[in-house]
Amino acid sequence: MFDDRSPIYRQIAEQIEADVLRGTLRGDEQVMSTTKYAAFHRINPATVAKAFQQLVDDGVLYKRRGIGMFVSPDAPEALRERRRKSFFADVVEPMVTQARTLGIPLSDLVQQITELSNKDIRP
Amino acid sequence: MSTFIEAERLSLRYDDVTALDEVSFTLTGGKIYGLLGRNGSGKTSLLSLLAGYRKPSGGTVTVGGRPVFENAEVTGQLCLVRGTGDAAVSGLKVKELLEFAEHLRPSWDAGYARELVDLFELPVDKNAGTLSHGKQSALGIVVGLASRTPVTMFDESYLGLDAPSRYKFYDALLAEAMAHPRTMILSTHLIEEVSALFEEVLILDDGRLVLHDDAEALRASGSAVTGDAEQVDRFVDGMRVLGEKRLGRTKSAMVYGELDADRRARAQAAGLDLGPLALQDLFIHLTEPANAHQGETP
Amino acid sequence: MTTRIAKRWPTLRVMLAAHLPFVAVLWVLFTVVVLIIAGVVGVTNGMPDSVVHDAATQVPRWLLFGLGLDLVNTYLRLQLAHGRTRREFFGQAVTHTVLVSGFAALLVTLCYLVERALYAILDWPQTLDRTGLFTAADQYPVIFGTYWLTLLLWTVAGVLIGLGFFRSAGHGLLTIPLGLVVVLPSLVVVGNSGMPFIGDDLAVVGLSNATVLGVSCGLFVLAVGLAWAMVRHVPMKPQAV
Repeated sequence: MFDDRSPIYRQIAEQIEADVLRGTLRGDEQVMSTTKYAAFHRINPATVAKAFQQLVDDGVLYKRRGIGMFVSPDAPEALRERRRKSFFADVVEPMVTQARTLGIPLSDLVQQITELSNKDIRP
Repeated sequence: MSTFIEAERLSLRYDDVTALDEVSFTLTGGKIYGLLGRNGSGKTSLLSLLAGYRKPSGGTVTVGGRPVFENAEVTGQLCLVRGTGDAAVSGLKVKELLEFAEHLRPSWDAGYARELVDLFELPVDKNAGTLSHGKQSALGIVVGLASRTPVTMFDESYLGLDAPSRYKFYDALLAEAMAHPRTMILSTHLIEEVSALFEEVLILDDGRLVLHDDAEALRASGSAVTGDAEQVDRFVDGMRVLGEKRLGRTKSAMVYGELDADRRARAQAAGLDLGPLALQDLFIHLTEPANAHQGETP
Repeated sequence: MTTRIAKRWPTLRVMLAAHLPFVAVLWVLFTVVVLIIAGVVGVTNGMPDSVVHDAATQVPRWLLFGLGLDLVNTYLRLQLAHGRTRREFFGQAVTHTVLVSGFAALLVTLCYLVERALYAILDWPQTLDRTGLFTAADQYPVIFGTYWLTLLLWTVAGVLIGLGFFRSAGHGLLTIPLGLVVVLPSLVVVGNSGMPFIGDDLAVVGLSNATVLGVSCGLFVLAVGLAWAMVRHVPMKPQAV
């Protein structure tokens, strides 16, 4: 599930964020404990703890002393907002660069996007 | 007792071979450490010195500030299982060997040992010498885990174990490390299988310590830079290059060291492709004889 | 935490628990076989000399030599693997050689007693065909002392040679002649060398008991010293698989 090509704590954090965005994990829902998560995925507990700590720092999770970690109620919206912000840098910019290298005019690109979004709306 | 392990210019020479050459490191303890290295790189020698199985030819190794060799207060806190296990002496039954461990190890947990014996389906009435390779390894694993020593070391203790049994070992080890936190050191070259368990990694090559870092930092440290050969050469200038591949005008260089945003931007501007490098690849390139000292910056 | 207070001298306990019953079982077998031989010889050739004496001056020492080897081969590795020191092992192993050889000597002495009882029933005289420190089969304290000394030296020689080979084949070969030197007095004291070429002639060398005792004790100390030099820093190599 996790690979060795990037820090595992980042992969864990991304995984949990994805679960929150998809709705698999809902606001105020408890997440697996560090030890359970570590045992389940065969990962060093310190690595898991680091991922959870980062999610707490980012406001995705919150701690309830002696009980465990929970999903922040506003996490889905906050995550969506963050993804929206980085969407252009992460997705659009490379796409434009790629298009330039391939000699695709930007107008073609815009046209293609318009067509795709119309298709999505029609059915 | 503190399990702060410190090796300073630790060396081990056999008659005409230098197995370990002035190795120095500090392990703060309470973590799972991975000791990686090719066959003959000095893993077993290093662990044997840490466990007091051998006397250093030079340098020192201390646990909690006290020298290890012939120091009962320290060695009682250590357990090293090499290969299929030093405690698996042939001629004695598995049952007898476990009883012996109980007599000699004040920290031995007999109940836990029985659980592990069931887990690995060890035949207790059999002579340890007649066990299969895998079962001998499993016996070593039982001895190591049930010893509950503050420092527990496994030197390639998976030899002869099939994949399901190896995962049983990893699961048991992880559960044990969480329930009874202690220092565990695992030497292995099945890196992909276990590396997620490690918090810190040490890599030995030819008797020298070539790397000691956080496992997570290492996962972020290797990159493959691919693109036009000239551009690649310009980009990696001044970086630690572990290996290179060339096909026509295209070149791929494996570099070690985290790339900051600035460098990433430069790579993009130069039309270079940056790919991550798995720990396994990093290990292979770090310990490759031909590339061992190539491209290293002074 | 399940920390328990370790019993004192754990290795000695384990070694005694393994060796004493083993020696006792072999003693029963030995006694039965020897007495059967005595019976057969007695019936076919007429009244024999003490058969126990013939056998006991040759066989038990090899057993004790083997136990000395076993102390190293089995228990030194386990000892180190379980976080104990060479020093600890050695102290307990030397104590063990004294105890196990004493136990074996006691059983051998018992053999002379059993044989005496049997011969008395058959009305045979229990005579010795060779003499050493003791000259008659009923000098029990001397018999016990003689065997203790003999068997102790053989056990300790086993430990010495075992340690030599634990260290390396070269050291092992070196310790064989040393081991031979250590057991030499035993050839005198029981009047049976059991060795080819040397024969039993050594038995007639006129040495006083005090001299033999002194030399033996000296050799014991020498053997222990050599063995300590051998084990003090001995590396434990991984087991060949």
